[in-house]
Amino acid sequence: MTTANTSSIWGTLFRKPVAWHQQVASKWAKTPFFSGIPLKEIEKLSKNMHLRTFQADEYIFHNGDQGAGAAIILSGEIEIRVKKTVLAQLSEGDFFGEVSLVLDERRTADAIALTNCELAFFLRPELEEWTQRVPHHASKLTTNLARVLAHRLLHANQLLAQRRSR
Amino acid sequence: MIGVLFERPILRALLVSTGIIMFAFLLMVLFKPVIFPILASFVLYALLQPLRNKLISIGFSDVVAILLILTALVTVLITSMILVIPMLIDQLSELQTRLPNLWNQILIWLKQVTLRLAETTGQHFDSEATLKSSLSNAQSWGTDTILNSATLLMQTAMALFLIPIITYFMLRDFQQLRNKLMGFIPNQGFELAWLIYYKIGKQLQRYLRGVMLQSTIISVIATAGFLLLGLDMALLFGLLTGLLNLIPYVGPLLSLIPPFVVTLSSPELDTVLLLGIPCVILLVQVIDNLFIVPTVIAQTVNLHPLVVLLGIVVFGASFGFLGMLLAIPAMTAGKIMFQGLLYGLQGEGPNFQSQT
Repeated sequence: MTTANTSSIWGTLFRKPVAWHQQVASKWAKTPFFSGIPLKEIEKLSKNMHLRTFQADEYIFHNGDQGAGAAIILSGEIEIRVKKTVLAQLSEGDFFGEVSLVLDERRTADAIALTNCELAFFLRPELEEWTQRVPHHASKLTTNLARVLAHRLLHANQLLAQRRSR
Repeated sequence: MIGVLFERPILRALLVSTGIIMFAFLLMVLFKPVIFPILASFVLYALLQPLRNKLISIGFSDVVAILLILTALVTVLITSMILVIPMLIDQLSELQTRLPNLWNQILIWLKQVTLRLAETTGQHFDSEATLKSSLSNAQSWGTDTILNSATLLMQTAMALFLIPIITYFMLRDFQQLRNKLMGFIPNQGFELAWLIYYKIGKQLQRYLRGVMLQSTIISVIATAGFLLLGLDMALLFGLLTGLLNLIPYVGPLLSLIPPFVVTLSSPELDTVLLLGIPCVILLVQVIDNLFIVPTVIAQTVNLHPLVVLLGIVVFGASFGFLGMLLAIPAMTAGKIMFQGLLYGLQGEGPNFQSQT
């Protein structure tokens, strides 16, 4: 108990405060998106990401909005809907909107904050710039991105097959 | 009624674009005394940013990459100043010594013209009085020009000192500052704002690189042409032709004036030169319009000629020569912003990037 208190006092005095981009980087590092990419590189990239806070019930984006990139949830919960059908409920550490990292298309679903939440956006132009800066890491990320999207496609195919068999 | 009108995407896009353009205009008016170094630093930032990315990709740290680029830039600036500026000063002072000759030549012509007019019409004109008033006007214009040149020299010296410093800070901190400013944009429009920003940035970077290349090629061709003609101060006029070519439609015509003035100021009139100068400018324009513009510029700028002309007049009247140079990139940025806002606010239909 004493040790814990002491460590917390000394820790509070001398511990370097964790910068927001490091928190963002640690969250991204746990996703399949950034697997195999060094944390330091993700931290550098995270410096250019965009922190946004949303109130409960606020739309993060609407179906038909011009999409610019993916977002990771730092805190709070969100829901992905198409009309009134709920596609997914996401919480801290989950990411969404990754199709916009590859395609310059409009969003195909609504994203709504269920609670107050904090998100970090990673935009397509930043991925393009990063590709120029560190092509070897960027190519790893695009392979990961392709894997994530391929899994989604397989999942969608399975759902479609199940529906048809009914 | 007004509320219903405001729901229309086109009106909202127009209103937001007008607001942003007016704000940018206001900023330019406020920062007019230092607008040149700031814009020149922006140009350098846009040109050097890819180089910085390249150096970082090789393995240099951010700070080392910036310092390396700036050292190279300052070295190039100093070397070109040592090599080119004395040559330009020589040519300018030669022009200064020749100007009295030009005035004399004009006096002789005017006298001849008035004599001929008197012979044909039988009416006498008081050419002496006209000449005297013209000369006194010319004298005061000359004094003003010299005073203005002194101010210009001061401003240039100031700019040369400021540009590397501003460029350094821009390369180091611009992205963070930009991110902070963009953070003020409401959640609803933040993704669209970033897309528009990147689209404008990319297009302007491409345009800047294009016009730099265009200007260099034209300067080289014009200098070679003038040298072949045997025109004095060929380097000065070649560089001027390259620079003035950045102003569409008006620039090539303006670039005819200085070599003409010099040819007319020589003691004996050289008709070969008088005919050769427009031929060189014409040749430059043919090469520019047939080869350089379609390959280098056309993809980046897609504005109606009338809009370009009006823009040059408005920007020129507000910010002088610099305004004329700024007209096209500023209008291109305005157009992309309006189109981006329109497609974003429409909420359906084709995507923004493929439309602009």
